[in-house]
Amino acid sequence: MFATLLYNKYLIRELVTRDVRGRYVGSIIGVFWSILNPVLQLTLYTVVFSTVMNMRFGDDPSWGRFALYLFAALLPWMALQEAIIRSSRSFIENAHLIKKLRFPLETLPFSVVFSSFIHQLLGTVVFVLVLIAIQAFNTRFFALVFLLFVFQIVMTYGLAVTVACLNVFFRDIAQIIGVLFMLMFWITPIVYPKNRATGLFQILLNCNPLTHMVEAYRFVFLGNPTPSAWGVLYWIMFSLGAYLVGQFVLSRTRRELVDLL
Amino acid sequence: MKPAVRVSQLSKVYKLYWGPRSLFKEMVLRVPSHQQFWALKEISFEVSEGEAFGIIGENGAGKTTLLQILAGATFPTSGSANVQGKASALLELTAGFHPDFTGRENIYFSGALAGLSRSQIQESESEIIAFSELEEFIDKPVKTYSSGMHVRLGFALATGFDPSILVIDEALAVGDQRFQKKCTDRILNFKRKGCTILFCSHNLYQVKTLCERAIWLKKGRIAAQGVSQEVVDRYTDYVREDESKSPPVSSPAVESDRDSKRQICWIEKTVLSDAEHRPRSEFESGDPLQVDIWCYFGPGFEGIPAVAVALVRNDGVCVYTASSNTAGDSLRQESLHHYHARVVFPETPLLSGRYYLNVVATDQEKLQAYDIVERAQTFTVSSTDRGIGLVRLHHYWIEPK
Repeated sequence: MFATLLYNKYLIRELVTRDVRGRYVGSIIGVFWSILNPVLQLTLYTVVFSTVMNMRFGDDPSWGRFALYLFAALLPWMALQEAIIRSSRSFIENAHLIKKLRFPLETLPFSVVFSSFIHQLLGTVVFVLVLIAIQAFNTRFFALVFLLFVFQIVMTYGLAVTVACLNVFFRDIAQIIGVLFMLMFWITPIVYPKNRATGLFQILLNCNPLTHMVEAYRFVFLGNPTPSAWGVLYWIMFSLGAYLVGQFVLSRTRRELVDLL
Repeated sequence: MKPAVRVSQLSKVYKLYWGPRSLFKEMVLRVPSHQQFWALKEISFEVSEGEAFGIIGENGAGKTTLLQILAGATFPTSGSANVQGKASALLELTAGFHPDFTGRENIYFSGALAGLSRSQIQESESEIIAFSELEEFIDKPVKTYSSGMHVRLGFALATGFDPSILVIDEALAVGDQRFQKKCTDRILNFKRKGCTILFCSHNLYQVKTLCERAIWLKKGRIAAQGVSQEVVDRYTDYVREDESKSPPVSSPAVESDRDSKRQICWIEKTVLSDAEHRPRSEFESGDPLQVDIWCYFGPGFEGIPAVAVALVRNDGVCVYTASSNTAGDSLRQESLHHYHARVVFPETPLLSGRYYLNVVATDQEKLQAYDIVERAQTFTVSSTDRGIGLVRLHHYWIEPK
C-alpha cells in the first residue's frame, strides 16, 4: 500500500492542494481559518471548563495552564476526527473519478488524512510559538513529536481507509462515526486530566488507545505528566493494527466497491 | 502485429440489491439477496496495434461497462481484458474538473490523475492550452467557462498527453463546427501516427469511416463483429427494423378477412428473381431485379387490372413505386380471372441494407387498392459504397467555369 502511495505521490500532492485550497477558495482570510478555528474552539473549551466548571491540570491554579494542556491534546484529536469523518465520504464524493479511471483508491483517504495533518501542523506551529513566548516550552522531549506524528498518521490512515470502504456499502457508517466521535471525545482525557478518573472509568480510559496518544502529546510539549510506557506502546500497536485492518478491508472490498458507487 | 487490446471471454455481472438492507443481509448474514444483471456476456475480441476499432450498440448494450473495464476502473466478473500501454480515457471529458480551480490547475490535476509526473505535464501544458484555444482564460476558474470551453479543454486534455491507446466515447461532438473539425483532424492524426483507437459512438458514419473493424454490442453480447462497414450496416438494419415495428401498419385487406370483406381481387404469388429468372433474395447494388406477380381479378371486378410494386427499405421508407401501365396490356391473362405481371428494374443502385416489396392489386384509376401484400418479398442489398442515403444517384463533379 505504501508503494502505491509513493508511486502516486504527485497525484496525492495535487489532491492535497486541491483539498486545502478548495476549502478556502473564495474566502477572504483563506487559510487563516485553519488557525482561527482551533483557536476559537480552544477559547470556548477553556472558558467553559476552566472558569465555569473550575477544571485544572496539575497543581497550577491558573486557567492559562489549562489552556495549554487542552490545546496539546485538542490538536491531534481534531486532526483525527476531521480526517476520519471526511474520508468516510471520500469514495462517494469522488465516484465520478473512481468510475472513469484506473484510480488508486488509497490516495483519496490518504490525501484527506494528510490535509488534516497539515492543519494540525499549522496549529502546532502556533502552539509552539505561544509556548516559547510564555517560556513554557519544554525542548527536552520535543524531538519525539515527529514519532508521534508518524504513528498518528499511520493510525488515522488505517481507520480512514476502513471507514471509506465500509461507507460505500453501508452509508450508515458515516453517521455512526459522527456519534462515535462524540462519545470518544468524553472518554478521552482532553478537557479533563487523566488522573481525575477513578474506578471503572479509569479502566475505560486506559483501554482507549487515544488516551495514550493525547497523553504522549502533552508530554512532548509540556514535559509532564509522564505517560505510562505500556500505554504508549499499546497505542503504537493499535495504530499499526489499524493500518493492517485498513489494508485488509481495502483489498477485500476493492473489486466490488466501484460497482456500488 | 501484436494486439494492443485483447479481450477474451469477458463477462461482467452487476449485483442489483433492493436496498441497503438486502446488501447487509448478504454481506453480514451471508444470505444471497441480489439479482444478477449481465452487463457483458462472453465478449472476445482483439484490437491490433495502430488499429481504429469501433464499438457500437444501443444505449444500455454494455458499451460503457466495456470501456470502464478497459480503462481499468472496474473489474470483470470472469474472463480477461488486457490493454497494452497507457489508455487515455475520454470517457467523460470533464469528469475531473474542479470548478473553483483555474484551467491550468485542472490541467495539472488531470495529468496527475493520468499518472503523470509534474515535469511530464509541463511538457504538454502549452500544447494543450494552444489546442483548447483558451490562452486568455486558462488562469481563470473553470466555473467561469462556457460549456463549449469546458469540452474544448477536456478534449485537449484527453488527447494531450500522447496516449498509446485513445478511448473515445461520444467525444467528437465537441464545440462549434470549426472546433469539431479540429478534433476529427487530431484523431485522424493519432491514427496516422499509429495510435490505437477505441471509438465508441452513435455517429455511425464516423465509425464507418474512421474504423477498420467494429463490434456491435447487443444486450451485453457481441451481435456482430468484423469490418466496420458491414457491422454498421447490419446494426442500422436492425435499428431500422426495430423502428418500423413500432408504428402498426394497417393493411386494408389481409388473407384471413378476405371472405368477410367480400374481396374480389388478390395477389396470389410474388417472386423476386435476377435477370436470369433465378429467384434470389441477395443482391449487389446495381444488380437488375425482376418481380413476377400472379394475381386474381374475380368476377366482381370491373375495369382494367393493374398492379403496383413498391420498393421499401426496412425502416418503412419507400424508394419507389412502379405500377403497371394503365392500358393493362402489360398483364398477361393466363386464364379467365388469373393474370401474370412482370416488372424489371434493369439497375437498382440501392445502398446496402434490407428492403422489401409491397405488392398492390389495383385498377386503371389506381385509387382503390383491392389487395395489398406487405413484405411480399424481402431482400438484402450489399454495397461497397460508403454513401449515405437510399440510392446511389448518378453524378459527376465538374470544375465550375
